[in-house]
Parts: sequence; structure tokens; C-alpha cells
Amino acid sequence: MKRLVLSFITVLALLGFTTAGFAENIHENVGCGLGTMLLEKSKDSILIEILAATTNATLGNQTFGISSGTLGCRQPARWASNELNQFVAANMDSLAKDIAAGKGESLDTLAELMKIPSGGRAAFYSKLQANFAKIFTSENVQSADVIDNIVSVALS
Amino acid sequence: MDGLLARARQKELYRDRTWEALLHYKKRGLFLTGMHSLVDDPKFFLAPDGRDNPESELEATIRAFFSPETGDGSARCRFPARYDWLKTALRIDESRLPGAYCPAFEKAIGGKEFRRAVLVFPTAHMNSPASMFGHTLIRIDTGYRSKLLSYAVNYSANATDTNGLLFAFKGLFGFYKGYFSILPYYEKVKEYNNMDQRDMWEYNLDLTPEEIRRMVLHIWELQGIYSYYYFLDENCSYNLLFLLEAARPPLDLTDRFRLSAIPVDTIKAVGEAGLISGVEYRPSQATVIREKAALVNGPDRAEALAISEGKTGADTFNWRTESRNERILTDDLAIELLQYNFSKGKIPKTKYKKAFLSVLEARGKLGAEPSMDGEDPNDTGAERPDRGHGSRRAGIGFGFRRGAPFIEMSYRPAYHDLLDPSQGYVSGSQIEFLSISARYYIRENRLRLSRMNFISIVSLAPRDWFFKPVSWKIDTGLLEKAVSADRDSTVFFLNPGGGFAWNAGNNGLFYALLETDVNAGDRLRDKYAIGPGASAGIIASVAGGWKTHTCGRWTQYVAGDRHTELSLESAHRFRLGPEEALDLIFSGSWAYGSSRPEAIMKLNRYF
Repeated sequence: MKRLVLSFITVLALLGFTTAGFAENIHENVGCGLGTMLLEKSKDSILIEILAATTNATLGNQTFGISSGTLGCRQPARWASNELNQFVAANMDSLAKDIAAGKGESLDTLAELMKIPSGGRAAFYSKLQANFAKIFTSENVQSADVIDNIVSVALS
Repeated sequence: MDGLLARARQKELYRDRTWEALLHYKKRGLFLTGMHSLVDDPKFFLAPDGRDNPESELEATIRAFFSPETGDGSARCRFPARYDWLKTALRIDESRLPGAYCPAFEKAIGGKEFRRAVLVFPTAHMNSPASMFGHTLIRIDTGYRSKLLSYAVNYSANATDTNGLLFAFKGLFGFYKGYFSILPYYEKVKEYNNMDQRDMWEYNLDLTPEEIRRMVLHIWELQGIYSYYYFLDENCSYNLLFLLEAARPPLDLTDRFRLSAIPVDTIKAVGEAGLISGVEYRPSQATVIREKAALVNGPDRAEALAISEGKTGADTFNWRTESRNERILTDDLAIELLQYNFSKGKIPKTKYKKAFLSVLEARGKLGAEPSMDGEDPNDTGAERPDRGHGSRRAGIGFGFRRGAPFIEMSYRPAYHDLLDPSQGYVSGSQIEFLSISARYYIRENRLRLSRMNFISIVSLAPRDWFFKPVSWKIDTGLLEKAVSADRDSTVFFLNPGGGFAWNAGNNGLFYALLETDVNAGDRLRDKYAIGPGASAGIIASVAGGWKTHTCGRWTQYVAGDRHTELSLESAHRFRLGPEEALDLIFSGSWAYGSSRPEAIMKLNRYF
């Protein structure tokens, strides 16, 4: 039952993103990152719509150890519809830390951006924690894959 | 439009406080009759003489708002806060205005919710002179609950020089342009908490949503607009005060800081204006490490340390303990140490990534941390910086030097010394600018400059099992000192030093420094003396408000006026009230075969 509720929530979240994001121009801010590459890379992903809608201002394929994140990507006007992608790309390390610990401010932020209602968060967090290795699959894992994996884990 | 201009003239709107606040006008001239904006960028003004003439700027603004020009570059799109105010002040009928189309503005701001404004203070960071007094920025919370997603509004100098001296010079004298920038708050948290290791204090501002909206409109107006940046007065903290004035124009905060704006003093002023409704604390990673390490026993700590240093064969834990709780504490510590070492460049990225993933995987398997009841994560015992002593200090006292009685008066414009109560300041640090002490020797009926520090910076940072900082000092100014067996004279001195410090007992700090002293003065043989030296001391909080500093210093002047100087001092400061303290200082120095004992009792007041 819990799993069903969670899946339902996540699907709602996906829908929310897709509709919220479509108004944006995908190629608007390519200079900042590798949006196009990211899209091709995740073609088979269940997240294709989300990514199409949210990678326009992506910060590139961020991996661990990027401590000063968003070089050249400082246009506030464009945060509007890209928050999740940007947030994960710019906060890979602290998000991984929070997922491993099952709590923390970055994890709360992720949940909020994925529109997980507060009632479902405890279950969401412990599921991510238990499946840490499936989300952060290698030390070179990239932010787009992390988002993919989080959704797969949440839906599983 | 002519009607509006007439109405504006008749109401003398150009004298209105809101107009002053939005244009950053300040009085100037011999009798303060003229006006002048502190914004230097010509793009900010619509009238050619707008910078010095509020009236013509106002009229140019009204005209521009009525011009058929539209789009992002039009006056109405660029100056929404001015428009917002004029609309009400002049009761403008918007239907008579040409329709404004501001896509960029609409996209960034239109319809967004601005919930809360927060004044953020990342505390000082001793090893970076540019951050010595700390910094302030404003966080604007939007519809998100997560603060990390808020906007961080930051005013900073656009400086590219890496040469410290050049940077300091250009910064002091306004060679850099300062700009407002906006970043996601998480970038600022990473920068201050994780990279610079600065604790952050977040002061919630008691502003209404309407006031916050006005602040946001004004921030929009300041996008890409520069003012010359001056470290001492027109700095980050000073410029943020304009944002608060734009939010609530009757506030007058900027006039109080025309000569210098020390970040923590601006926070105090904001508090005195009744604008602070709460405070939160965001410890740096270094602070978190100290807290977590205190909960982990020695062998486990060593294990966490080995992993964090990326030592071969130490990429997984060899658990000594069966306790899940202890494993969690150790693993959490290893994670923090690892990130710290990486941010300080102590381990290469490849090693970091591998070890980071490994400790995190282990942590994931350990499951949720057992809940600790009744623990308030914000209750760390850290002291609010705005509750610290005032950064200016004046003192008057009485004492004897070689038996000769004197009255001493001293004044320090900024900021903190080793004996001042460390609440709200960096413990073990001293930063003083232009502090001065003069003595009136009663029997001789002579007034003498006893000491004047141009600058005095001391950073005593304790070394422990993990942190291995270097302590250092730089002290320069004028000083009255022995120049022969029976003669004192004023000399210039420059005294840098470096060494180590360690915690001694619960409240003590022991240090030892190697130093060099350069003296120059007419009364010195060859007019100068240079030599190496060493100093050591203990600073301790003995009880409640009693702090002591006992130290000794030896200098062997080997060039110029060759001689040996030895000095000992035991200084005690008793806190009498929140802003009052009593000093008792006993000292003696030996040089040129004679001694100079001294005792002083002095009353200090901070403000």
C-alpha cells in the first residue's frame, strides 16, 4: 500500500514537472551547460519528459567534487523551471550525504522540488537511503543519472 | 503628463524620503545643502544631471514613464520601484499610460511570492584579509520551504586581482566597481560553510510582504548597476542597508555609517531599528567536525581520519565496535573530514570521489540515526555576533612607569583584541585599526604618544588532532620604547610573526611565535634596529568575566642599534557590564641594561 501511494505521488510529481516546464525554451541557455548531450544520453529514460522540460539551463553533467558549481550560470531569471536539475547538479555531494544519512536539508529540498507531500517523506527518505548504491552507482555518476535513479528507486 | 509634473513640483516629491532612498541620495557640500547619489553608474539615471539633481531626475523619470518606449529596456521595466512609488504618490491613472511590456521582469519576478527577507552574516575568516570583518548578504525566501532555494542577494566588488596588497589598496580607495548579484542561496552556503569554513548567522527581518516586494523591485533596478566599492564605508554591508531603506523608506540606516560600515555593526543597527524578529545559526563544516569529533572515541577517530586522508587500504571501515550508533557517528565524522580535506586541496579529486562513495555507501547501510530526544540542533552554544561587545572602545586609566605616575587615555575605532570578550567574535583573534594610547606624565607635565597601531592583526588558531592551522600576526605602528638605558622615545615598528597555538585546558590557549621586529626612530643608533625574536603566551578565561593574557617576548636586534630586549606582561581584563571592562596590566621590559616596570589600571567602555 505504502509503495502504491508513493508511486502515485511520484507520478503526480512527474506530471507536475512536465506541465510546469514546457513553456520554457529548451535551447535558451545552452551556453551554460550540456543540455543537448544530456537529452540524448537519457533517451531511454523514463524521465525523458522531465529532462526535456528542465535541462535547458542545466549546469552540465555534474559529478562529485564540484564545489563551486555554477560557473557562468548565474542568471536568476532562469531558475524558474529548472530548479530540480540545477539543484541536483550543483549539490551532488551534499545530496549524496543526506541520502546516505536519510535526512538533511538537501534531501528536504529534493523532496520539495519533487513535490513529495510531507506525509510521504519519511518513507521516501528511508527508501532512498536503503538504495543508496542504486542511486549513486559509481563515483563518476552524473547528476542526470542520479535524478533518473532516484525516480526509479522511488517507483520500484 | 504636464499635470503630473506640476503635481510633482507642487508636492516637492523630489524631496520625498522615498525618492532619496530609491536613488541613494545623500546630502553633501559645505552646508549639506547639495544632494548627490552614491550610485556611480550613469545608466542608473535618466536625467543627464540626475546624479546630483533629484528634481531633474524625478522629472526625467516621470517623462520616461510616459514615453511610448516599451520592452525590457524601457524606463518602466528598468525602474519598477520608482514606478511603484510614483503611481501612488501622483495617483497616476494607469490606463492613460502606454502599456508596459516587460517580459524579463515578468519572468523573474511577476507573480512570485516573496515570503521573508533575511539578513545573513557569514562570520569572519581569519586567513583571508578580505573577509576580516565578515560579510553580509540578504536572503529572500520565495514560495519554497527550503531555504537553500531562496535568492541570495549579494553586493561585492568585481575584483580580479589576486595580489593581496594590490587588492587591499584598490579596495580601500575605490578602484573596484561593486555590483549586486543574485545566486541561489545554496551556492552561498557552499561557499561560506563548506569552502571558507565560516559560520553563518541568519537574522529574520521583520518586514511585511509588501515591503519585501518593494525591496525586490529595487534590487531589480540595481541589476548591472555599479557603484565604486570602498572596503571601509561603501562596502557590502553598507549597500545592503539601501535595500532595507527601499523596503521601508522612513528607515534611515545608511547615514549612521558614512565613515565606516563594519558588518556586525550594521546588524546591530538593524536590530535597534526593530527589524530583527529571529535568528538562526548555520555552522561551518569545521564547526560541525569539532562537534561530531567530540562524540567519537580515539581509535574510531583515527580510523575516520585515515579514510579521510585517502590512505591506501583505508577506503572501507574496519569496525572495532558492534554498536550501530557508534558506527554511524564514526562514519558521519569520516564523511565530514573527507569533504573538508578535499575542499582544502589535501586529497586529489579521484581519491576523494572513491572514498566519498565508499563511506556514503557504508553510511546508507547503517540506516537512520537513532533519534535524540530533546536536542535542539540550533542550540550549539554559539554566541550571536550582534550580542558581542561594541567594536569601538575608549578607555581611561592610571598607572606608573618606572615609578612615574601617568594618566592614560586610549581609543580604538575597530574592532576586537585578544582580551576582549570573545562572544560573537573569532576566539583567539585580534584585529585593530588605528588604535591609539596617549599618556600624560604628571610629574613631568608631559603628554606623550604611548602607542598607535596602524594595524594589528593576530590570528591564534589552536592545532588539534585534525586541524593544523598556522598562527600569525602582523603589527605595525608607533610605539614609545627604550632607546637607551634611561631614555624612551617614539619609534616606528613593524612586527610580523608566525607560529603555532594549542588549546590549554578548558578555556586556555597557548601559543609560540617566531617574530621579526623592525624599528626606525631618530633616537636609535643608526636610526634603526632589526632583529629576530620569539614570543609565547597563554590566554585564558579564568572565571566569568575575567580574562588574562600572560606573555613573554624576546628580541635580538642584530642590525642597526644592536641590543637585546626582553619583555614580560600579565594583563587582566574584568568584564563589569555588557559594554564595560576594567584592565589591570603589569609588565616589565629589559633593554640597554635597565628595566622598565609598569602597572596600569584602566576603565574601558565599548560602543
